[in-house]
Amino acid sequence: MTLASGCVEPGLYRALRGTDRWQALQQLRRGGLDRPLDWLEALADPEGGCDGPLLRLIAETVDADGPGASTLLAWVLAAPSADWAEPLAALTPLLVRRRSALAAGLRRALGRGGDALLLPLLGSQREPIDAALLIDRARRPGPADERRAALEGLARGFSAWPPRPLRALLLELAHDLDPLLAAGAVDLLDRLPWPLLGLDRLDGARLEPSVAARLARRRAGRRPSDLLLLAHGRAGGVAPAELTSLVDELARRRGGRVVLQLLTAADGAAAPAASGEPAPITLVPLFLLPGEHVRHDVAAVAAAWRHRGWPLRRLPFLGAWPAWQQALAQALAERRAMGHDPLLLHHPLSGPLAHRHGAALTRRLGVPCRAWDGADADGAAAYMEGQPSPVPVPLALATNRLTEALAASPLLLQPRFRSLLLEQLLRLP
Amino acid sequence: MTSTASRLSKVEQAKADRCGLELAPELADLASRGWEQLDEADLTIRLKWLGIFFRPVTPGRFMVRLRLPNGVLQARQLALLADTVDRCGAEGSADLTTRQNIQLRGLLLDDMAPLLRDLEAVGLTSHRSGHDNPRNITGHPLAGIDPDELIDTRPLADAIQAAVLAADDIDNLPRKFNIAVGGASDSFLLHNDLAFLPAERDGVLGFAVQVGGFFSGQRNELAVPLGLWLAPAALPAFSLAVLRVFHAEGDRGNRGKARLMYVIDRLGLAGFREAVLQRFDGEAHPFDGDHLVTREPRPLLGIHPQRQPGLHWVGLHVPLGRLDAEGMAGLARLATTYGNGELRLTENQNVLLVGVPADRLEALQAEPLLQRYAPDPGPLLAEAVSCTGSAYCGFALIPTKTTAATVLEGLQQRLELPHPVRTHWTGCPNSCGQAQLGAIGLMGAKARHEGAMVPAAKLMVGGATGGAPALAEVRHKGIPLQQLPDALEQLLVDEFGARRRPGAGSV
Repeated sequence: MTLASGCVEPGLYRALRGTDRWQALQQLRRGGLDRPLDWLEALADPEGGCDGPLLRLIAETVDADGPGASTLLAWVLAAPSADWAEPLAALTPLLVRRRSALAAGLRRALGRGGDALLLPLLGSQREPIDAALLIDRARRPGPADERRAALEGLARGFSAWPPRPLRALLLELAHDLDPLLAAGAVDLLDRLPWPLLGLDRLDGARLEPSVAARLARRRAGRRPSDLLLLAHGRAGGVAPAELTSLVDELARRRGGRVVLQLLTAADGAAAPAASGEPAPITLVPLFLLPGEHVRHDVAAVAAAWRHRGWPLRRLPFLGAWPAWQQALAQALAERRAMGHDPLLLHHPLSGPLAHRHGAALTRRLGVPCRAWDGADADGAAAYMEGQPSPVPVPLALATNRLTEALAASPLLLQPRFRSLLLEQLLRLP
Repeated sequence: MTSTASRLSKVEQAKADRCGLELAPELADLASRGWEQLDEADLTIRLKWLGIFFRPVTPGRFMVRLRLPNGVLQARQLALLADTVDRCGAEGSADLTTRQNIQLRGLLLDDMAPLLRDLEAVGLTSHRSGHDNPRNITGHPLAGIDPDELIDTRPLADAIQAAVLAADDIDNLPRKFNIAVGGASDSFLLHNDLAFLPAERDGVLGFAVQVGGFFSGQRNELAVPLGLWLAPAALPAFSLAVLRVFHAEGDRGNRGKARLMYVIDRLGLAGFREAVLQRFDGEAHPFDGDHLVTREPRPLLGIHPQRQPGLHWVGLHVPLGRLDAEGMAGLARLATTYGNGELRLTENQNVLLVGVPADRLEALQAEPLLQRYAPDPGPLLAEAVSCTGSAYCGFALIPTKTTAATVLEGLQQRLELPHPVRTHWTGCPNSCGQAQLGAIGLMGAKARHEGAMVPAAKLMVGGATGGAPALAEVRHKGIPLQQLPDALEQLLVDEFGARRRPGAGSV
């Protein structure tokens, strides 16, 4: 790899060192470099410092997937880290795409004083194993420029990193004393799927004023995600009126799409084709117990929507929401205080999970839960006959055979539960 | 294929394989899967058909270039662009370009799908703003408000853009292509591939056609008269005819010789004209008269009365055309608060607020933002034009914008100048900063200084953009940047009537 080897034409080499070097570079660019690594000799000219354009030309010519690329990177990183900036910028043609060997080379060079240059490049390589490293370097106390560089690395490879630890980091960094780091964290939170999930959690937090202003701008520009309400429905895919009324009010007050999907519809588990352009959507299973629908149908529905290209976030079934359970406990306690002896009736469940949940609910609410599988009012009345002074309370969100048999209001027709559910759904990011 | 196409270059092959516009519906998916999923040609070439530029200097941070025919921008549009840049934090910025356009920097690929939707919603597009496409259609920045206007160029620029974007048979040109429409006697357009200069024929105002202007590392040409006159309504169809000849005849084997002037060289001016007329379904009249462009572009900064009584335009200096989110949002606010909600971008990379009533001028002048974007920045900064420079461009040999700002500010402190002096700064011989048009042109170079090669500037002098246009000629092949202030100071004193301020130190 010397000039004496004759691989580098001396006249051209001299031109590169002279005032006509741009023309010489163009000549090289047009003619191509047969053996690009031989030109490293020309780069080693002690008078010239880094010849960025020539190095860039070499980087454009060398086989990016071959060993020459790693050799070139190693050649640059063999210099003192203070001299890395221009050569690393020249190597970006090699770093355009994810190349594990080059990412490994960058990783190995960390800790030698040039991390602020290396971390963004490492991030743009988008190697999943670097997520933890970059998150740690952004979080860990250290020089501000290196923490910012780690955050920039996370930005450049943004969609390659797992969202949960990334969101946790960004929520933390938004409070950082370094306003640049905090501002960057807020901007990246805004780019995660369901951005309000993170941004809303910072609402009211004590942030540096410029960061708080940035947060306000980001929140102002976001509307809540679309909602997919999954419910059982009545025979033939008919939606009870209280459900459609809820959907209408939600759509009006949230300002986004609210889709009601019923399992009793003809294509119950499929994603409706007419729901429009895919966009982040939150699936809310409006089921009160973890029966077959929760265990199987919800997953099938989620898969169908995702298959159609919708980024979808699944929430737990409604009956498991603490606020819902608290409201239920409160309502039952009020009944007991009135001298009643409530009994929760629900549709039959199968599987150990459902039974465990029923038992847990009984303990938490202090009220017995029983499955009712009668098909008509007479059956319900007969069922109640053996119970000690019971006040049957149907555990049903919307009108169904049980509520009709008992002539009782479903929960959604009771102001307490409707308000609670509406409030919870309106708060969803 | 044409006679000139012996072997497709790598770029031509990529373009032939797939049109970049086809990537539009895939953007959201590409963002979620990551840009490494893109084919390398998609990333570095085809995305430019959507106006999205992968930037090798900042891999992972993309640039978006818009299309703003005639440089007209509404405040609500600028507010959207400000918000877009704001979301990029410290990485975000915007450049005003020498084609009356804006490019946004620092964006992530995740931003692209929603941004393109938002642009469309406010009536903007970035389609075909880069690579081998007809670039932003420029017109006179004072169109419609100029007391000395010959013809309003705004509807013409709009119509040409509409025709160009609708024509899917020219979405793969051999090279980039610049079109400009002149509307006043100070419309200098001869650096464009296709220039329409206002001209009278038999007492009717229309346009003389000039073709083939361009600057590059190999060759610099001013456009030459094609010998045709067109009525205004014919401009869109005629532009398409020229583009179709270029599409068919341009060199696809050698990108260094692919611009329109090389086609004209090969066909001869008469042959080229004939080829265009064969594709033009309209009236074009032979013309050997003079066009009406007779003077240098007038200074646009400061407060000036519009054609409309009682209204003014206020030209604000944007230092070297670089804007941040706060500045963009501020300018949008000024346009709505004081003007008619419209802004104009100039080829000198500055901004005009238009439709400002006389009784609002005083309040506008008191706005703190005018400390940053001054209406009277001084005789050198007012007329300084710069390319992006090495901060964002891999070709540039020097950081043009920061160098120009530092040097010119220093010179303004040291010198008194009797009139503005136009300086054009460009980072490399590709000459995006149009150094050849400067009264003083500076081009990035390297020079030997104290035994080492150091960043330098090639000095050119004498560019003229008036009635007798001329390209600047090289005066020095490479002045080390550290010696540049002294060299320019001497030049300004010797040849531009500058006087040294008493007691001023060295730059």
